[in-house]
Amino acid sequence: MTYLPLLCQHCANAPCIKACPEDAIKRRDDGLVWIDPEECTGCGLCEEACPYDVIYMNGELGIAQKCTGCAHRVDEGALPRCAEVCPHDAIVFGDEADSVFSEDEHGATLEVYHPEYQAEPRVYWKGLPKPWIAGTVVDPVSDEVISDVAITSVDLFEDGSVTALSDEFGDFWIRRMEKGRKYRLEIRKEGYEDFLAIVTTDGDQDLGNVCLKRTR
Amino acid sequence: MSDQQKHRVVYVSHPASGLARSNFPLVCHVAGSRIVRSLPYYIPEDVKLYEIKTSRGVFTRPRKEVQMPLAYAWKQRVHSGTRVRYPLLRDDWSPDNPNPAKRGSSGYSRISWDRALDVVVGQINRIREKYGSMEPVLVQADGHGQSGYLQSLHFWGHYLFDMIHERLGWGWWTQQVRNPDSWEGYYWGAKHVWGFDSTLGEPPQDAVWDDVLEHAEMVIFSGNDPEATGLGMSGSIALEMPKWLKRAGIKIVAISPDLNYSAAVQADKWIPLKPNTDSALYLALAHTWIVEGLYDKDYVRTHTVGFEEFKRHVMGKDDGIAKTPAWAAKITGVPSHTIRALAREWASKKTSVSVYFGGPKVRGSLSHLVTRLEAYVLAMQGIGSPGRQFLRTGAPSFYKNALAQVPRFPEVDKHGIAMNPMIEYAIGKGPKSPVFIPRTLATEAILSPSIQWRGTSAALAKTEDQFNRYRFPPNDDHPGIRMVWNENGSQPGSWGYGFKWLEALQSSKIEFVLGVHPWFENDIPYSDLILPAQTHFEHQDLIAVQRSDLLAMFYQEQAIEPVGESKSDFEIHRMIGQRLGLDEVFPPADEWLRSAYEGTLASTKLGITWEEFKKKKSIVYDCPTWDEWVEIKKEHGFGPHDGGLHGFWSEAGGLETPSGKIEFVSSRIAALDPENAERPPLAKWIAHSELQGSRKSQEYPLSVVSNHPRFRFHVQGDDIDWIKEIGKVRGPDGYMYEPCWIHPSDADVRDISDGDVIMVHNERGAVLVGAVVTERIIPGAVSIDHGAKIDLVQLKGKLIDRGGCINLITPSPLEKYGVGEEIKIPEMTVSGFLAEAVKIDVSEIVASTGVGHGSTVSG
Ligand code: SF4
Ligand code: SF4
Repeated sequence: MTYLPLLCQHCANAPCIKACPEDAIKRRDDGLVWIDPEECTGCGLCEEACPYDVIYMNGELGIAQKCTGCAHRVDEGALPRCAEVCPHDAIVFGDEADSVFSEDEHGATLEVYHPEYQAEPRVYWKGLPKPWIAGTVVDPVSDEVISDVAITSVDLFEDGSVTALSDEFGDFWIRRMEKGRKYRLEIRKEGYEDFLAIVTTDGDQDLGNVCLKRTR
Repeated sequence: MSDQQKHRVVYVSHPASGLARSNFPLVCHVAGSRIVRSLPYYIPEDVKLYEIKTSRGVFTRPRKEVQMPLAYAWKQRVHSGTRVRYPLLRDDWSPDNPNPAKRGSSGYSRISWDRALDVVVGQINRIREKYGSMEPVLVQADGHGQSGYLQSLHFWGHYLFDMIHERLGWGWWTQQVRNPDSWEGYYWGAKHVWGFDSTLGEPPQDAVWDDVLEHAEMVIFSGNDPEATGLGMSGSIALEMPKWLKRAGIKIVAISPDLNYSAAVQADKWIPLKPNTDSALYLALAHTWIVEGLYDKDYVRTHTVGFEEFKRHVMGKDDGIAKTPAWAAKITGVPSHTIRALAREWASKKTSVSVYFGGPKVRGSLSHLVTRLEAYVLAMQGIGSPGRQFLRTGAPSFYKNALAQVPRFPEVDKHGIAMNPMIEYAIGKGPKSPVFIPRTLATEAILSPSIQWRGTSAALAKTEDQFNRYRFPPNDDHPGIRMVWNENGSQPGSWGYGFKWLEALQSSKIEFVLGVHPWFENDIPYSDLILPAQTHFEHQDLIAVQRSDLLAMFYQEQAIEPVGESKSDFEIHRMIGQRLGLDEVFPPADEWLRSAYEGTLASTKLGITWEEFKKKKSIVYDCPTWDEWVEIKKEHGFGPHDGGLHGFWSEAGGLETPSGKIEFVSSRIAALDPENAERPPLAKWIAHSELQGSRKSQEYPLSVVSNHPRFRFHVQGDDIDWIKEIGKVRGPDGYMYEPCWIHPSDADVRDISDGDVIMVHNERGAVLVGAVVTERIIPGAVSIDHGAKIDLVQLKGKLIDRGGCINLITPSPLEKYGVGEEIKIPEMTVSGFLAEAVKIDVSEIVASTGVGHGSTVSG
C-alpha cells in the first residue's frame, strides 16, 4: 500500500502556462505557478494540458483553479497549509537548495514524478512507488512455512539480480523493482526441488503461497 | 500586514472527543464572523517535553500537535445548511395531539425562546401531574459531543433532573446509562480474567512505553488503527507512538479483517482474518504452544488459576475437538501454517498486544469471549514480563495507578487539569437515579417493556455488578417512558439496530421528544421541539487537555457571534432550570469555570489567577526529565524500564479477581452465573447466528466489519463538503455514498464494480453504499465505517438509508433472548454481523418526500 498525495508540480516547463491563451497562468520568481483569477476566462485548455491532472474547473466562478503553493502564506513566512498540517511531515516545503532536499539527507537523489512528461516538475519525491514481488514459501507436505530461503530475481534483459530471504512467516518481499521488466524468480532450498518462475512487473506481483516440492 | 494583525487569534477546542475532555486546541484565525483558518497548535519551546531513554534510542514527541482532518474542517459546520438556528416546533405536534407517527416526516416552524421554554416546562409539569414523578422522562445525555469543559457538555439533562429531584422533590428520572461502548469485549469479558475495573477491563498503562521500547521485539496490532481512531481521540501522539515502535526496531504484525489505515503504512505483516473469529485464532495459538511446549509454564503455575481446564478444552479432551491450527484455519480464514508461524514468533520474541478502542474485535457479537481468550494467551506468555505488555497506542482514557504511560509528574496527573464532575453521569460507578436503562436497551425500554437484564453497564461499575438483576419499568404499574430528552443525536448512528430506535421515537407511548442540538441530523428530526445548541466557536469555555500524552489547559474565547438564536448546551439547561426556580444550582458559566480552574495546580501551585489565565490563555505542564522520572518510578516500585503489568509479574497477585490471579476459569462466573451458556466460566469458541456457517449466513453470507470512521467522529462531521470529498464515493448520480470495501472475488460474483452503488441489507433493513473493490478486506467480509449521516429514501417501495448508516441494521441484544427473558449480557454489537450486498440501479431511488431528513423548516 502506498499513498501518493498529488498536488501541482509547479513545473519549470509548465504545459499549462503554454496552453493558456490569456496568459493567465504565471510563474513567480520563487517558482510557484499560479492562475490569476482576474484573467482566467475558464476556457479549460490548461485543464487538458496539465499532464498531472491537477487543475480543476470551478463551474460556479467560471475559472480554473489549482494549488497555489499557498503563495499568500509563503509571503507571510508561513508554510503551505498541506505541509503545516501533515502530522507525518511527509510534505516538506522549502528552497531547492535547502539541505532537506539534498542527497546526503536521503542517501539517494530525490526523484521527480513522470519525468517523461518533460514538464520539469519542481516537486521532489522520496520513495515513489515501484513494483514489488512478494509471496509466502510453504512446504505443503508438512503444512509449514519455510523461513530463511533465498529468493533471487534475475533481470532477464539487463544485468543484475536481487536476493531476499523469506522471514519467520515464510514471507519474502522484493521491493523497488523496475516497472515493465521480465524477471526470473529462483527459489532454491536443499531438500526441495528448485522453484523457477517468470514474473513480469506490470504491476505489483503477489504470488501468494509458493509451494516447494520435496525432492525424493 | 501579517495574519496575526489582520485576524483575531483564538484557541478553540478540538471538536469531537467530548465528554468534558479535550485534546490540544485548534489555533483559529477569525475575521468578524468568519473563521478564516484553523491551524495546528505548537507546544511552546519553554515547555519541557519528556524523553524516554532506552538502549534503542531516546523517544519524545514533536512540538507540532496536529488533529484529525475533521477538526480543521469543523468550521464548515458552523454555518452549514443543517444548522438549527432557532427553536423549532414540529408543525403537527400539540400537547393534546402529539401525532407520534409523523415524527421524522413533519415540517418545523420557528418559535421564540420564550415560547420554547414554555413548551419544555409545560411538558415537565404535565408529566409530573399525569404520572406523579419524572420517571417517565428518558434522559439521553452521554454523547461525545464537542469537547468543551462546560458549555457543549452532554450531561446537563441528567444534572437538571437530578436537581429537580433534589430541590423540587418531583421524583427520579430515567437515566440512560452509557454502556462501555468502545470497550465492550474487555468490559463484559476480560474483566472476569484479570479484573482492572477502573480501566474497563484493559490493563493499566503505567510507564508502559519505557518497558515496551526497551524490551519488546514484536507488537501485535489487534484491529488497532492509530491513524483513524487514535488520531481522532488522541491527536498526533497516536501517530507518533507506532513510529517509536518502528524506530526501536520492533516488528508490527496487524491482525484484522481489513488492512486498516495504520496497518497499511506501519505493519510489517498483515494477517487477515474473518470478522469476529479472533477467539478461534487464540485457541489455535494456545494449541501450538501446548503441543510444542512454548509457553511460560512457571508463570502459568504461579500467576494463574484454572489453566488445566483450559488446556483440556484446547486439546479437545472435554468436547472432542482439538483446537488445532487446521481447525482454526477453517473458521478464521488464516492458513494453518501462518497460525503456527505466528505462535512460534509470539513465543520466541517478546511480544506485546496493542489496541486502541474499537477495532472490529471489541464490538462484535459475543466479543467478551474474544477478549477473555486474548487475556488467556497473554497469560500463557507471561504478561507483565519485560516486553510482554498490553499496549494502547494513544492516550488512555482511564487511569488506575499513579503513573502515566509516558514520563509525567503524578501531581500534574492528579491536579493539573480540571475534570468536570458531571462526567459521573455518563462515565461513573453507577447510575445516580435508581430508575435507569443501559443505552443498549433504550429502544427495548420503549418498544417492549418490561425488560430484565444483568449489570448497570456503567463504565466504572465493579465486575460484580454484571451479576445484579435489574428491570424496566421498575414495577408493573409504571407508565414506562413517555418523554425523551435527547441531547446526543447519535443513537441510531453510533449504537445498534438504529431503525428500531427511529421506530421507538414514533411510538404512540412517547408524548414528547425534546432535541437539544446544533444540527438537524440523525434522530434530531424526530423531535417535537428542537432547541438550537451552539458550536464551540460561539462561546467561551475551558479546554481541559486530557486525551493526549501531555496535560494542558486553555482558555477558549468566544470566536464568533452565535449563529441565529443558538445558546450553549449549558445555557439552554440553565434557562430551563431558571424557569423551574433552580437558579441557585445553575450559576453563570464564568463562575463554574473559575471554580474549576482554581482547583488546579495552575492556580494552587503556579499562582496564576483566573483573570491572568484568561489573558495568558494556555498552560502546558512541564514533564519530568528522565532522571526525575526514574526517581518517581522508584517511589512506585518500578525500575527505570519497568512498566505496564510489571508489578503483577513480579508479585504474582493483587488483581481484582477473587483469586487475585489471572483466572482461566472465572470463579465469579462459576459462583454467580454458572449456567449462562453465552458466557461460561471458561471462555470457549462459541458459534452463533451472526457468523459464517450459521443458517442465517445462507441468505446473508457476508460479514460486516464496522470501524470507527477515519474521516468522521462517530456520526459527527458527515455534513462537511471537504470531508465528503475525501471520504466518500461519488455515485453515477453525483450523490456522495459511504464507502464499502469489498474484495474483488466477492464483487465479481455479484457483478459489482468499483464505484457502483450497492445495497447492503439483512433482515433488519438496508443501506446504500458506494463500492470500493479492494484486496484490503478479506474475502467474505465488507467494511463500512459506522455512523454515516442518515438519509432515508424509497427503493422499490421499501424505506432504506441512502446515507449508508450501517448501525441502522446491526443486531439488538434482544435478538439472542426471547420476549420476557432475562438479558444476561446487554452488550452492544456494531461490527461482525451478517448481511448481503447487491448492486442497485440509482435511477430507482426515490428521495422520499416527508421522511425524516427531507423535513422542511419554515420561519
Ligand atoms: S502540474 Fe500541471 S498545473 Fe501544475 S504547473 Fe505543471 S502543468 Fe501546470
Ligand atoms: S498547500 Fe494549499 S494550495 Fe497547496 S495543495 Fe494544499 S491547499 Fe492546495
